[in-house]
Amino acid sequence: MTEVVSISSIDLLFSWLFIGFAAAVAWWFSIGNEIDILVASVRALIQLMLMGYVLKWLFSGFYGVYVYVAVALAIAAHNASRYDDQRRLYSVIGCGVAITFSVVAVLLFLRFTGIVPWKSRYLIPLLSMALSSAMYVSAQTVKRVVEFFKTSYSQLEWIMSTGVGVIDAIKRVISPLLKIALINRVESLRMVGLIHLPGGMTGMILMGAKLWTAVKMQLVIMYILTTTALISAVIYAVFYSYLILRERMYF
Amino acid sequence: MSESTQSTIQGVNSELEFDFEVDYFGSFKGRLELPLLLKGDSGTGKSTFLKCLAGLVKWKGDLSCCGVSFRSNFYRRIRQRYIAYLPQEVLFAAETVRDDVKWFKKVLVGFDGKKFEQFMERFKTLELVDKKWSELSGGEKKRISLCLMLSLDRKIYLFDEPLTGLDEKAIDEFKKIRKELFEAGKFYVLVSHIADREFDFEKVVRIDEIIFPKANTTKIEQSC
Repeated sequence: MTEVVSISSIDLLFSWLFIGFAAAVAWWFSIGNEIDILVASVRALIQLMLMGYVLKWLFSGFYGVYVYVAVALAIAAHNASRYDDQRRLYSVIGCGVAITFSVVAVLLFLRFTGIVPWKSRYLIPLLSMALSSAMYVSAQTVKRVVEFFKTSYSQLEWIMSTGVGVIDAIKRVISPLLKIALINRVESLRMVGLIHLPGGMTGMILMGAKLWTAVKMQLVIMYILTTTALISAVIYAVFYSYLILRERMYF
Repeated sequence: MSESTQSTIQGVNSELEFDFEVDYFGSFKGRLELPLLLKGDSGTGKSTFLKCLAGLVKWKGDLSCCGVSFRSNFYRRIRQRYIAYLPQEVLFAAETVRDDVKWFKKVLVGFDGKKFEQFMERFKTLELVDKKWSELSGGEKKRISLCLMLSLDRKIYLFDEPLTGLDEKAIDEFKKIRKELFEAGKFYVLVSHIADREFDFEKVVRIDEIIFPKANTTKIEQSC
Protein backbone atom coordinates (compact mmCIF):
# COMPACT_ATOMS: atom_id res chain seq x y z
CA MET A 1 0.00 0.00 0.00
CA THR A 2 1.24 3.46 -0.84
CA GLU A 3 2.24 5.63 2.06
CA VAL A 4 0.83 9.16 2.02
CA VAL A 5 3.15 11.76 3.55
CA SER A 6 1.22 14.51 5.25
CA ILE A 7 2.79 17.96 5.44
CA SER A 8 1.62 20.11 8.33
CA SER A 9 1.04 23.85 8.12
CA ILE A 10 4.15 24.36 10.26
CA ASP A 11 6.16 22.35 7.68
CA LEU A 12 4.76 24.58 4.99
CA LEU A 13 5.77 27.64 6.96
CA PHE A 14 9.30 26.28 7.26
CA SER A 15 9.49 25.71 3.53
CA TRP A 16 8.25 29.27 3.02
CA LEU A 17 11.17 30.42 5.18
CA PHE A 18 13.39 28.49 2.77
CA ILE A 19 12.13 30.52 -0.17
CA GLY A 20 12.35 33.61 2.04
CA PHE A 21 16.06 32.82 2.25
CA ALA A 22 16.21 32.76 -1.58
CA ALA A 23 14.53 36.19 -1.64
CA ALA A 24 17.04 37.47 0.92
CA VAL A 25 19.93 36.28 -1.27
CA ALA A 26 18.30 37.98 -4.29
CA TRP A 27 18.01 41.21 -2.27
CA TRP A 28 21.60 40.99 -0.99
CA PHE A 29 22.89 40.33 -4.49
CA SER A 30 20.78 43.21 -5.91
CA ILE A 31 19.16 40.89 -8.45
CA GLY A 32 16.00 42.96 -8.01
CA ASN A 33 13.46 40.13 -8.07
CA GLU A 34 13.05 39.47 -4.34
CA ILE A 35 9.54 40.98 -4.25
CA ASP A 36 8.60 38.89 -7.31
CA ILE A 37 9.81 35.73 -5.55
CA LEU A 38 7.84 36.46 -2.37
CA VAL A 39 4.67 37.47 -4.20
CA ALA A 40 4.93 34.44 -6.50
CA SER A 41 5.36 32.09 -3.54
CA VAL A 42 2.13 33.36 -1.95
CA ARG A 43 0.34 33.39 -5.31
CA ALA A 44 1.38 29.79 -5.90
CA LEU A 45 -0.38 28.74 -2.67
CA ILE A 46 -3.64 30.47 -3.66
CA GLN A 47 -3.43 29.25 -7.28
CA LEU A 48 -2.83 25.63 -6.26
CA MET A 49 -5.74 25.67 -3.80
CA LEU A 50 -8.06 27.10 -6.41
CA MET A 51 -6.74 24.72 -9.06
CA GLY A 52 -7.44 21.78 -6.75
CA TYR A 53 -11.13 22.70 -6.64
CA VAL A 54 -11.19 23.38 -10.38
CA LEU A 55 -9.52 20.04 -11.15
CA LYS A 56 -12.20 18.16 -9.23
CA TRP A 57 -14.80 19.86 -11.40
CA LEU A 58 -12.82 19.43 -14.62
CA PHE A 59 -12.28 15.72 -14.12
CA SER A 60 -16.01 15.19 -13.60
CA GLY A 61 -16.78 15.63 -17.35
CA PHE A 62 -14.96 15.79 -20.70
CA TYR A 63 -15.82 19.39 -21.65
CA GLY A 64 -13.62 20.46 -18.78
CA VAL A 65 -10.64 19.85 -21.08
CA TYR A 66 -11.77 22.59 -23.47
CA VAL A 67 -12.54 25.01 -20.65
CA TYR A 68 -9.15 24.33 -19.11
CA VAL A 69 -7.28 24.73 -22.41
CA ALA A 70 -9.06 28.00 -23.26
CA VAL A 71 -8.45 29.62 -19.87
CA ALA A 72 -4.89 28.32 -19.57
CA LEU A 73 -4.05 29.51 -23.11
CA ALA A 74 -5.20 33.05 -22.37
CA ILE A 75 -3.22 33.18 -19.14
CA ALA A 76 -0.14 31.61 -20.74
CA ALA A 77 -0.17 34.05 -23.69
CA HIS A 78 -0.60 37.02 -21.36
CA ASN A 79 2.12 35.85 -19.02
CA ALA A 80 4.68 34.86 -21.68
CA SER A 81 4.35 38.25 -23.38
CA ARG A 82 5.08 40.31 -20.30
CA TYR A 83 8.76 40.67 -21.21
CA ASP A 84 7.79 42.78 -24.20
CA ASP A 85 7.87 46.46 -23.34
CA GLN A 86 7.84 47.55 -26.99
CA ARG A 87 4.87 45.99 -28.80
CA ARG A 88 3.03 44.09 -26.10
CA LEU A 89 -0.05 43.48 -28.25
CA TYR A 90 2.05 41.80 -30.95
CA SER A 91 3.59 39.57 -28.30
CA VAL A 92 0.23 38.65 -26.74
CA ILE A 93 -1.11 37.69 -30.17
CA GLY A 94 2.16 35.98 -31.13
CA CYS A 95 2.33 33.93 -27.92
CA GLY A 96 -1.38 33.13 -28.20
CA VAL A 97 -0.98 31.83 -31.75
CA ALA A 98 2.24 29.96 -30.90
CA ILE A 99 1.00 28.26 -27.74
CA THR A 100 -2.39 27.44 -29.30
CA PHE A 101 -0.70 25.85 -32.29
CA SER A 102 1.57 23.72 -30.13
CA VAL A 103 -1.29 22.58 -27.87
CA VAL A 104 -3.48 21.74 -30.86
CA ALA A 105 -0.56 19.74 -32.27
CA VAL A 106 -0.33 17.79 -29.00
CA LEU A 107 -4.10 17.17 -28.96
CA LEU A 108 -4.04 15.89 -32.54
CA PHE A 109 -1.03 13.72 -31.79
CA LEU A 110 -2.71 12.19 -28.74
CA ARG A 111 -6.01 11.77 -30.57
CA PHE A 112 -4.55 9.94 -33.55
CA THR A 113 -1.98 7.84 -31.74
CA GLY A 114 -4.26 6.95 -28.83
CA ILE A 115 -1.25 6.90 -26.50
CA VAL A 116 -3.41 7.91 -23.54
CA PRO A 117 -7.16 7.36 -23.15
CA TRP A 118 -9.18 10.30 -24.51
CA LYS A 119 -10.40 11.28 -21.07
CA SER A 120 -10.01 14.53 -19.20
CA ARG A 121 -8.18 12.95 -16.25
CA TYR A 122 -5.35 11.87 -18.59
CA LEU A 123 -5.45 14.74 -21.04
CA ILE A 124 -5.48 17.66 -18.60
CA PRO A 125 -2.20 16.80 -16.82
CA LEU A 126 -0.47 16.21 -20.17
CA LEU A 127 -1.85 19.40 -21.67
CA SER A 128 -0.91 21.39 -18.60
CA MET A 129 2.69 20.20 -18.93
CA ALA A 130 2.70 21.00 -22.65
CA LEU A 131 1.19 24.42 -22.02
CA SER A 132 3.64 25.36 -19.32
CA SER A 133 6.57 24.15 -21.40
CA ALA A 134 5.36 26.23 -24.36
CA MET A 135 4.78 29.21 -22.08
CA TYR A 136 8.22 29.14 -20.45
CA VAL A 137 10.03 28.85 -23.75
CA SER A 138 7.80 31.50 -25.33
CA ALA A 139 8.65 33.86 -22.48
CA GLN A 140 12.37 33.19 -23.04
CA THR A 141 11.89 33.78 -26.75
CA VAL A 142 9.92 37.00 -26.18
CA LYS A 143 12.72 38.35 -24.04
CA ARG A 144 15.42 37.55 -26.58
CA VAL A 145 13.53 38.58 -29.70
CA VAL A 146 12.43 41.91 -28.18
CA GLU A 147 16.01 42.55 -27.07
CA PHE A 148 17.21 41.74 -30.60
CA PHE A 149 14.84 44.31 -32.12
CA LYS A 150 16.04 46.90 -29.63
CA THR A 151 19.76 46.40 -30.14
CA SER A 152 20.45 44.58 -33.41
CA TYR A 153 17.56 45.47 -35.72
CA SER A 154 20.02 46.95 -38.24
CA GLN A 155 21.31 43.41 -38.87
CA LEU A 156 17.90 42.34 -40.13
CA GLU A 157 17.48 45.62 -41.99
CA TRP A 158 20.69 45.05 -43.92
CA ILE A 159 19.86 41.45 -44.77
CA MET A 160 16.44 42.55 -46.03
CA SER A 161 18.05 45.30 -48.11
CA THR A 162 19.95 42.69 -50.12
CA GLY A 163 16.69 41.27 -51.50
CA VAL A 164 16.54 38.14 -49.32
CA GLY A 165 13.02 36.86 -48.66
CA VAL A 166 11.46 37.88 -45.36
CA ILE A 167 11.29 34.35 -43.91
CA ASP A 168 14.90 33.59 -44.88
CA ALA A 169 16.02 36.86 -43.27
CA ILE A 170 14.06 36.21 -40.07
CA LYS A 171 15.38 32.63 -39.89
CA ARG A 172 18.90 33.92 -40.31
CA VAL A 173 18.86 36.30 -37.37
CA ILE A 174 16.39 34.54 -35.09
CA SER A 175 17.77 30.99 -35.11
CA PRO A 176 20.71 31.73 -32.74
CA LEU A 177 18.24 33.35 -30.31
CA LEU A 178 15.97 30.30 -30.45
CA LYS A 179 18.88 28.02 -29.73
CA ILE A 180 19.54 29.93 -26.50
CA ALA A 181 15.84 30.09 -25.58
CA LEU A 182 15.58 26.29 -25.98
CA ILE A 183 18.70 25.38 -24.00
CA ASN A 184 16.74 24.45 -20.83
CA ARG A 185 14.34 22.21 -22.70
CA VAL A 186 16.98 20.40 -24.75
CA GLU A 187 19.33 20.01 -21.77
CA SER A 188 16.48 18.62 -19.71
CA LEU A 189 15.83 16.00 -22.42
CA ARG A 190 19.54 15.22 -22.68
CA MET A 191 20.13 14.87 -18.95
CA VAL A 192 16.90 13.16 -17.95
CA GLY A 193 17.62 10.22 -15.67
CA LEU A 194 21.15 11.42 -14.95
CA ILE A 195 20.62 14.58 -12.96
CA HIS A 196 16.95 15.28 -13.35
CA LEU A 197 14.65 12.55 -11.98
CA PRO A 198 11.30 13.14 -13.63
CA GLY A 199 8.38 13.36 -11.20
CA GLY A 200 5.92 11.47 -13.39
CA MET A 201 8.10 8.40 -13.80
CA THR A 202 9.24 8.40 -10.17
CA GLY A 203 5.62 8.65 -9.02
CA MET A 204 4.54 5.79 -11.28
CA ILE A 205 7.33 3.51 -10.02
CA LEU A 206 6.51 4.37 -6.41
CA MET A 207 2.86 3.57 -7.11
CA GLY A 208 3.91 0.11 -8.28
CA ALA A 209 3.85 0.51 -12.07
CA LYS A 210 6.24 -1.56 -14.18
CA LEU A 211 9.55 0.14 -14.91
CA TRP A 212 9.21 -0.05 -18.71
CA THR A 213 5.68 1.38 -18.54
CA ALA A 214 6.88 4.30 -16.42
CA VAL A 215 9.85 4.93 -18.71
CA LYS A 216 7.66 4.89 -21.84
CA MET A 217 5.21 7.35 -20.31
CA GLN A 218 8.03 9.65 -19.22
CA LEU A 219 9.56 9.56 -22.68
CA VAL A 220 6.24 10.48 -24.28
CA ILE A 221 5.97 13.40 -21.86
CA MET A 222 9.53 14.58 -22.54
CA TYR A 223 9.07 14.38 -26.31
CA ILE A 224 5.80 16.30 -26.08
CA LEU A 225 7.40 18.98 -23.91
CA THR A 226 10.38 19.44 -26.22
CA THR A 227 8.23 19.56 -29.35
CA THR A 228 5.73 22.05 -27.93
CA ALA A 229 8.57 24.24 -26.71
CA LEU A 230 10.24 24.28 -30.11
CA ILE A 231 7.04 24.80 -32.10
CA SER A 232 5.86 27.66 -29.92
CA ALA A 233 9.27 29.37 -29.91
CA VAL A 234 9.59 29.22 -33.71
CA ILE A 235 6.02 30.37 -34.36
CA TYR A 236 6.26 33.26 -31.90
CA ALA A 237 9.62 34.45 -33.23
CA VAL A 238 8.54 34.37 -36.89
CA PHE A 239 5.13 35.89 -36.20
CA TYR A 240 6.46 38.74 -34.06
CA SER A 241 9.38 39.54 -36.37
CA TYR A 242 7.07 39.53 -39.38
CA LEU A 243 4.68 41.99 -37.72
CA ILE A 244 7.50 44.33 -36.71
CA LEU A 245 9.02 44.26 -40.19
CA ARG A 246 5.63 44.84 -41.76
CA GLU A 247 5.20 47.89 -39.55
CA ARG A 248 8.62 49.34 -40.35
CA MET A 249 9.54 48.49 -43.94
CA TYR A 250 8.30 47.33 -47.35
CA PHE A 251 8.90 43.82 -48.62
CA MET B 1 33.57 64.64 -65.75
CA SER B 2 35.79 62.66 -68.10
CA GLU B 3 34.81 62.16 -71.76
CA SER B 4 34.52 58.41 -71.34
CA THR B 5 32.06 58.72 -68.47
CA GLN B 6 30.03 61.33 -70.34
CA SER B 7 29.61 59.06 -73.33
CA THR B 8 28.51 56.17 -71.12
CA ILE B 9 25.56 57.99 -69.66
CA GLN B 10 24.25 59.38 -72.97
CA GLY B 11 20.75 58.12 -73.51
CA VAL B 12 20.56 56.48 -70.11
CA ASN B 13 17.97 57.72 -67.65
CA SER B 14 19.94 58.72 -64.59
CA GLU B 15 17.22 60.64 -62.84
CA LEU B 16 16.05 60.24 -59.27
CA GLU B 17 12.63 61.84 -58.86
CA PHE B 18 10.75 61.81 -55.59
CA ASP B 19 7.94 63.44 -53.71
CA PHE B 20 7.11 61.42 -50.63
CA GLU B 21 6.42 61.75 -46.95
CA VAL B 22 7.77 59.83 -43.98
CA ASP B 23 5.38 59.77 -41.03
CA TYR B 24 7.64 60.80 -38.20
CA PHE B 25 10.10 62.84 -40.20
CA GLY B 26 8.72 65.08 -42.93
CA SER B 27 8.62 65.10 -46.69
CA PHE B 28 11.32 64.68 -49.32
CA LYS B 29 10.92 66.34 -52.67
CA GLY B 30 13.32 66.72 -55.57
CA ARG B 31 14.57 65.79 -59.00
CA LEU B 32 18.23 64.89 -59.03
CA GLU B 33 20.79 63.50 -61.43
CA LEU B 34 22.76 60.41 -60.46
CA PRO B 35 25.46 59.75 -59.39
CA LEU B 36 24.90 61.87 -56.36
CA LEU B 37 26.86 62.94 -53.34
CA LEU B 38 24.50 63.80 -50.50
CA LYS B 39 25.84 66.01 -47.76
CA GLY B 40 24.48 67.54 -44.58
CA ASP B 41 24.84 67.75 -40.83
CA SER B 42 24.38 64.73 -38.59
CA GLY B 43 20.78 63.84 -37.78
CA THR B 44 19.29 65.78 -40.67
CA GLY B 45 17.86 62.81 -42.56
CA LYS B 46 20.54 61.58 -44.98
CA SER B 47 20.41 57.97 -43.77
CA THR B 48 16.61 58.09 -43.57
CA PHE B 49 16.54 59.22 -47.19
CA LEU B 50 18.71 56.30 -48.28
CA LYS B 51 16.59 53.88 -46.25
CA CYS B 52 13.47 55.27 -47.95
CA LEU B 53 15.01 54.56 -51.34
CA ALA B 54 15.80 51.01 -50.19
CA GLY B 55 12.27 50.58 -48.79
CA LEU B 56 13.62 50.05 -45.28
CA VAL B 57 11.60 52.99 -44.00
CA LYS B 58 7.98 53.35 -45.06
CA TRP B 59 6.99 56.37 -47.10
CA LYS B 60 3.89 57.63 -48.89
CA GLY B 61 4.04 59.32 -52.27
CA ASP B 62 6.00 58.88 -55.49
CA LEU B 63 9.50 57.69 -56.10
CA SER B 64 11.19 56.74 -59.34
CA CYS B 65 14.80 56.08 -60.13
CA CYS B 66 16.47 55.55 -63.52
CA GLY B 67 13.04 55.28 -65.13
CA VAL B 68 11.78 52.64 -62.66
CA SER B 69 8.82 53.48 -60.47
CA PHE B 70 9.40 52.21 -56.92
CA ARG B 71 6.08 50.94 -55.66
CA SER B 72 5.74 49.88 -52.07
CA ASN B 73 4.25 46.46 -52.79
CA PHE B 74 7.08 45.40 -55.11
CA TYR B 75 10.02 46.18 -52.92
CA ARG B 76 11.49 42.71 -52.73
CA ARG B 77 11.72 42.62 -56.52
CA ILE B 78 13.09 46.17 -56.57
CA ARG B 79 15.83 45.16 -54.12
CA GLN B 80 16.61 42.03 -56.10
CA ARG B 81 16.93 43.88 -59.40
CA TYR B 82 17.80 47.49 -58.79
CA ILE B 83 19.07 48.35 -55.34
CA ALA B 84 22.06 47.49 -53.20
CA TYR B 85 22.42 49.27 -49.87
CA LEU B 86 25.36 49.68 -47.54
CA PRO B 87 24.48 50.99 -44.06
CA GLN B 88 26.91 52.95 -41.90
CA GLU B 89 27.60 49.89 -39.79
CA VAL B 90 26.90 46.31 -40.79
CA LEU B 91 26.13 43.69 -38.15
CA PHE B 92 26.68 40.12 -39.28
CA ALA B 93 24.73 37.07 -38.20
CA ALA B 94 27.31 34.32 -38.72
CA GLU B 95 30.47 33.64 -36.79
CA THR B 96 32.95 33.98 -39.65
CA VAL B 97 33.07 35.83 -42.95
CA ARG B 98 33.05 32.53 -44.87
CA ASP B 99 29.83 31.39 -43.10
CA ASP B 100 28.07 34.60 -44.06
CA VAL B 101 29.26 34.45 -47.67
CA LYS B 102 28.14 30.82 -47.93
CA TRP B 103 24.68 31.81 -46.75
CA PHE B 104 24.46 34.78 -49.11
CA LYS B 105 25.46 32.55 -52.02
CA LYS B 106 22.63 30.18 -51.10
CA VAL B 107 19.79 32.65 -50.72
CA LEU B 108 20.70 35.81 -52.63
CA VAL B 109 19.58 36.53 -56.14
CA GLY B 110 22.40 38.06 -58.19
CA PHE B 111 25.18 37.45 -55.69
CA ASP B 112 28.34 36.75 -57.66
CA GLY B 113 30.86 34.70 -55.66
CA LYS B 114 33.69 35.28 -58.15
CA LYS B 115 33.08 38.99 -58.14
CA PHE B 116 33.11 38.92 -54.36
CA GLU B 117 36.54 37.28 -54.36
CA GLN B 118 37.83 39.87 -56.83
CA PHE B 119 36.63 42.72 -54.63
CA MET B 120 38.08 40.99 -51.55
CA GLU B 121 41.41 40.88 -53.36
CA ARG B 122 41.19 44.54 -54.35
CA PHE B 123 40.38 45.57 -50.78
CA LYS B 124 43.08 43.24 -49.40
CA THR B 125 40.65 41.27 -47.28
CA LEU B 126 40.97 37.76 -48.75
CA GLU B 127 43.05 36.55 -45.80
CA LEU B 128 40.27 37.59 -43.39
CA VAL B 129 37.72 35.19 -44.80
CA ASP B 130 38.13 32.55 -42.07
CA LYS B 131 38.36 35.02 -39.22
CA LYS B 132 35.55 35.58 -36.75
CA TRP B 133 33.66 38.83 -37.14
CA SER B 134 34.37 39.61 -33.50
CA GLU B 135 38.12 39.54 -34.23
CA LEU B 136 37.92 42.08 -37.06
CA SER B 137 38.42 45.82 -36.73
CA GLY B 138 35.77 48.33 -37.80
CA GLY B 139 37.71 49.14 -40.98
CA GLU B 140 38.08 45.46 -41.93
CA LYS B 141 34.36 44.87 -41.40
CA LYS B 142 33.61 47.91 -43.53
CA ARG B 143 35.81 46.67 -46.39
CA ILE B 144 34.22 43.22 -46.33
CA SER B 145 30.69 44.62 -46.22
CA LEU B 146 31.60 46.84 -49.19
CA CYS B 147 32.79 43.73 -51.07
CA LEU B 148 29.55 41.91 -50.26
CA MET B 149 27.45 44.84 -51.39
CA LEU B 150 29.40 45.42 -54.58
CA SER B 151 29.09 41.72 -55.50
CA LEU B 152 25.36 42.20 -55.91
CA ASP B 153 24.46 42.80 -59.51
CA ARG B 154 22.21 45.85 -59.15
CA LYS B 155 21.48 49.06 -61.03
CA ILE B 156 21.65 51.56 -58.16
CA TYR B 157 24.02 51.43 -55.19
CA LEU B 158 23.23 53.32 -52.01
CA PHE B 159 26.28 53.99 -49.85
CA ASP B 160 25.84 55.41 -46.36
CA GLU B 161 29.20 56.77 -45.19
CA PRO B 162 31.20 54.11 -47.07
CA LEU B 163 34.56 55.72 -46.35
CA THR B 164 34.28 55.88 -42.57
CA GLY B 165 36.92 53.62 -41.06
CA LEU B 166 38.72 53.00 -44.35
CA ASP B 167 42.44 53.66 -44.75
CA GLU B 168 43.81 55.74 -47.64
CA LYS B 169 44.46 52.74 -49.90
CA ALA B 170 40.93 51.47 -49.43
CA ILE B 171 39.51 54.95 -50.08
CA ASP B 172 41.49 55.12 -53.35
CA GLU B 173 40.18 51.68 -54.30
CA PHE B 174 36.63 52.75 -53.54
CA LYS B 175 37.04 55.87 -55.69
CA LYS B 176 38.20 53.69 -58.59
CA ILE B 177 35.31 51.27 -58.11
CA ARG B 178 32.63 53.95 -58.05
CA LYS B 179 34.02 55.24 -61.34
CA GLU B 180 33.95 51.72 -62.81
CA LEU B 181 30.35 51.33 -61.67
CA PHE B 182 29.41 54.54 -63.40
CA GLU B 183 31.19 53.54 -66.59
CA ALA B 184 29.32 50.23 -66.51
CA GLY B 185 26.03 52.18 -66.61
CA LYS B 186 25.29 51.82 -62.91
CA PHE B 187 24.38 54.64 -60.57
CA TYR B 188 24.77 55.46 -56.95
CA VAL B 189 23.85 57.78 -54.14
CA LEU B 190 26.66 58.43 -51.74
CA VAL B 191 26.26 59.91 -48.29
CA SER B 192 29.59 61.14 -47.03
CA HIS B 193 31.19 63.70 -44.79
CA ILE B 194 34.36 63.60 -46.88
CA ALA B 195 35.12 66.88 -48.70
CA ASP B 196 33.52 67.43 -52.13
CA ARG B 197 36.91 67.51 -53.85
CA GLU B 198 37.35 63.80 -53.13
CA PHE B 199 34.59 63.13 -55.65
CA ASP B 200 35.03 64.72 -59.02
CA PHE B 201 31.98 63.87 -61.09
CA GLU B 202 29.09 63.40 -58.65
CA LYS B 203 26.40 66.02 -58.32
CA VAL B 204 26.65 67.43 -54.82
CA VAL B 205 23.37 68.08 -53.04
CA ARG B 206 22.74 69.20 -49.48
CA ILE B 207 20.04 67.27 -47.66
CA ASP B 208 18.25 70.48 -46.60
CA GLU B 209 17.58 71.22 -50.30
CA ILE B 210 15.36 68.16 -50.58
CA ILE B 211 13.85 67.70 -47.13
CA PHE B 212 10.90 69.55 -45.70
CA PRO B 213 10.69 68.56 -42.02
CA LYS B 214 7.34 68.23 -40.29
CA ALA B 215 6.38 71.06 -37.96
CA ASN B 216 6.69 70.37 -34.20
CA THR B 217 9.24 67.60 -34.59
CA THR B 218 12.43 67.34 -32.66
CA LYS B 219 14.34 67.14 -35.95
CA ILE B 220 13.28 70.70 -36.78
CA GLU B 221 14.28 71.88 -33.35
CA GLN B 222 17.67 70.28 -33.86
CA SER B 223 18.21 71.80 -37.27
CA CYS B 224 17.13 75.23 -36.01
